[in-house]
Amino acid sequence: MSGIRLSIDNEFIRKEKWFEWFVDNLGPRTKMKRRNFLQTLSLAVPGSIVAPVVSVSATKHHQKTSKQSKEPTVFSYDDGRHASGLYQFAPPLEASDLTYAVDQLVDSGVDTLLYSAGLEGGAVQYGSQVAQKWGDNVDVWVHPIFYRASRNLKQLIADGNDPMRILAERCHQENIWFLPTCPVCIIGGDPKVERGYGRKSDFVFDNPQFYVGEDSASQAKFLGRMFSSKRLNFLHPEVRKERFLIFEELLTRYASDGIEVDLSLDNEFGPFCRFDEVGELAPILTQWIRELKKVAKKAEKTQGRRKRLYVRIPSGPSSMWKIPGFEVETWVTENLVDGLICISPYKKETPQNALLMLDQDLDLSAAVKLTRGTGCRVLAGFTTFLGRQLEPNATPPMTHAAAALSYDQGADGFGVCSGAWSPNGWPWTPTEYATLRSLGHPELLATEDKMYKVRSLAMGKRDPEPLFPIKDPILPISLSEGEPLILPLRVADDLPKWHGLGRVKSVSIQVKVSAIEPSLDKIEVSLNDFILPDSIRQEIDAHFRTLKNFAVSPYGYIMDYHLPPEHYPKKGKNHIAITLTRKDPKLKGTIEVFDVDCSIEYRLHRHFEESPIEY
Amino acid sequence: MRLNFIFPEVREERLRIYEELLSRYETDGIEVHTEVVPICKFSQVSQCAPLLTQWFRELKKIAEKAEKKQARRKRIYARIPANPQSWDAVGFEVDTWISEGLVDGLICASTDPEVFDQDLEISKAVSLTKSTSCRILAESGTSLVKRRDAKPTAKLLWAAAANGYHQGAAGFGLHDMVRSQELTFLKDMYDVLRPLGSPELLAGVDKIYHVRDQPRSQKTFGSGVPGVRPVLPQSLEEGKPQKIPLRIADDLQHMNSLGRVKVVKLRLRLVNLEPSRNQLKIELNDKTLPDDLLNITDLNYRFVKEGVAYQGSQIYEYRLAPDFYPKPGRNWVKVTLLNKDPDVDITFQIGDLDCSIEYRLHRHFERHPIKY
Repeated sequence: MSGIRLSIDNEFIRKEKWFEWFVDNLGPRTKMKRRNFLQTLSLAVPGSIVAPVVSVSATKHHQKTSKQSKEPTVFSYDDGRHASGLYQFAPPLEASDLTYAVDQLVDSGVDTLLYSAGLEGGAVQYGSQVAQKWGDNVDVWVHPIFYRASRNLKQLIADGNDPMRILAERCHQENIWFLPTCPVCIIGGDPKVERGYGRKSDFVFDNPQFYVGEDSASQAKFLGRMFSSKRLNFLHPEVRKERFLIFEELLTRYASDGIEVDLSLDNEFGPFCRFDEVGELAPILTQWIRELKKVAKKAEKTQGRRKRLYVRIPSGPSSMWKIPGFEVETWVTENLVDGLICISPYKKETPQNALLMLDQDLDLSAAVKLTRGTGCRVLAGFTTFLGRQLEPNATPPMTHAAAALSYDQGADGFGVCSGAWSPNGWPWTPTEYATLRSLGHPELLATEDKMYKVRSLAMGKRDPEPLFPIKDPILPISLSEGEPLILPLRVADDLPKWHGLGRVKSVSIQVKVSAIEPSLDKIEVSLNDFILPDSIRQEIDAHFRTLKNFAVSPYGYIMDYHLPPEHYPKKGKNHIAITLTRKDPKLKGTIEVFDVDCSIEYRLHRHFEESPIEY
Repeated sequence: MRLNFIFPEVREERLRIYEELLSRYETDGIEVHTEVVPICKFSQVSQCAPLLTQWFRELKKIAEKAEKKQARRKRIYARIPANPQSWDAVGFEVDTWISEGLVDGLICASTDPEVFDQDLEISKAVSLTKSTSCRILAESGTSLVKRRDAKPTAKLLWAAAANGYHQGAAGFGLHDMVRSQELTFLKDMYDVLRPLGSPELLAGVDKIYHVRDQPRSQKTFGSGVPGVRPVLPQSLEEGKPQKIPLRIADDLQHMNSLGRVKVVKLRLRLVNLEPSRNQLKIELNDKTLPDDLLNITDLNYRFVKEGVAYQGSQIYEYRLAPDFYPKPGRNWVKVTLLNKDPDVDITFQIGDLDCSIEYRLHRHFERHPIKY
């Protein structure tokens, strides 16, 4: 029994369910006579029963024989409410209603669960002893689902099923790393309007003096919806302390494998102060992380479990990090952080202006360069929103392309950081599992079908005004007659190698152009300075093309170039030039390039077709 | 145990039934058919043939009388083997039936009526009916019995119908015993049947032209009547070319000029042959098909939903460029085993040969235009 610690409640012992459980779970190899078992148990239980909540019971069940990854590699971020019990199931909930969030990951390829501990308004969704739980300060609710979430949470905790504890236990039973996550920046508001949602704590309602307030800096207008003037200013020690206690609790009271310090709010970034205070904030934030690191180290000793500290930051050069005051270099060189989760810096939503797009091509070079030779890992975080008619979210080939690009730059892992990833609904379908399986394996990704997309805004979004500088064009972009539009396209695939093995099934470049009539307007597309001939182009008419429930938008044409091997894109950077060589003078209006993709399909073997026979 | 039509009592017994169907009911006519031929001993065929013709004459009189009485046209259709070689063998004086106007239509079936057969030779029947009102309907059985489908798929049926119309058939139909129907065959029935009456619609639908083979479940072919034998499988011997006829109906050059042709694939399923150890030459209408059009699919222990697919086979698939498109009518595929692996003593076979044609609705219309 050494090495197996048990946390067993009285009812469990009283009803003698434990014997059945023990035999069922430890299997025939360890079956023993009941008398022997009781003797063994009597030696093992006392120390465990008095152990702190951190339990112990995290390891109470059998350990699976499958190997756990050495460090977090493929993660899934779960906001803890949308695609799981708190929102979708009516109370009362059993523990199993919540642990499905873990069960769905088992043997999926995901090895790490990033589980949201708290909301943007400071309330938390676990049995905290230091922060207000969702609904603690609500008398009358104004939102039925938030009300349900609060009731579910309250009931789970009352039943002894603190979500954070049972999720940690389940993760460890199933050999999945468990990293609770929480935003560092939180938002206040008007209690008369928002108290009935339960998402905001009394701390943010009662302390408007801590709000950042109006910011006259020119950049302030580029901030997303979350970074309002009512966000809390991290320069105030009370604000820092409020957040610190939560992270401390997540490290010390629970058998977590560390924490993710989410420096975004719903994957948007901005400073936790006014822009003119960023210089002051940066060292304070670093010091705050230093203190957190000390807590993590202490918890490591107490629990005998490694406590990792991951931070969610914008990808890009270090100049990007300076904008919100993130001293990432210091965090890495001082070993304050164990991992950087780099996500697109560009997401932004406001009622007036939005920057929503699929960003596969994260710039990880600075993060990778900074961390090489250190113990700090770099994980690429993929926000999957696509915003198209058929597919609101990234398809499997798009996701695989994003992962391949990340590994190609030296990432140590990859994950999905959209809060409720469910591109085909929830629970996940076989498609999601097929997508996830290879995400931790660059060598498998090498021959997964992929679609590389030039950055293009979600439908209906225009004229983005980003906080972070954008170096490459973002579609849609208008074409002017005779002026080439140059677009970058990075590809991770070694196509000559796979073609040599007969593995490449097809490579195509698709250019979607609105308001064009190929018989009247002439368009020329080149890849790496080679003009793609018309003979390899299939023109697909998308004018009033009706599919189920909608007509394809925008009207126009899809120019589908099926590339011969000599014109395959190369590994790394490529560029595509699109030139409107002739515009029909009879029609006014703008011709726009909407989407540009490169699709690559592979065979499993040179003589293996996916559907080999038709009858 | 079948009844011999030589006997007047037998002919009379049948005639009375047909008479009743024509005169007592508001039918639009009748179809005369027999499950087995000949309807006498083979040695009695020449004696039986004029008796059968005479029987048709009497039937026609009954039909004409019923027409007047009911003021409704009463047609006589007869089901016959499509191949003219069979007519003499079984004692069907088809040319007399047509020339004397005894039949209003002939339903031309495969020599083995239940077997799916796209390549009926109906040109003789069509030529005999020229300048007459007699109609020729092509018929196909529905017993395919392949690995994935026991029944022909839509593309196979459309190809069968197109071949019928291309030779001058006035219509097309299916011979399918209710006992052998399967739900998989019926589920998309409307979609499958809808174009079968219209050569114009069939011209632009996807098709698979499949060279006639013998269903695995039916070891014997037909009822011993001479006629078309199944073309496949055929053995491949080193240095001995195999010429296989492939009939298609599509005017691919015309459709290609409209940008409508999406892909034309010529596929051979070769059994027991290892591509890297054996050298083949494959020609279509005397043009050697180049390797750069070729994709080989290995079916050795290839698992599909239905189990292992055609164990030991390789599919040689040529994506034909327009220069190599097959022509409407009969084409010839010649397969020559140039060099055989000396280390094996196994018979190589051509198991299947087909031509798959896919169309676009319009030159700029893709079935699935957007991926996201």
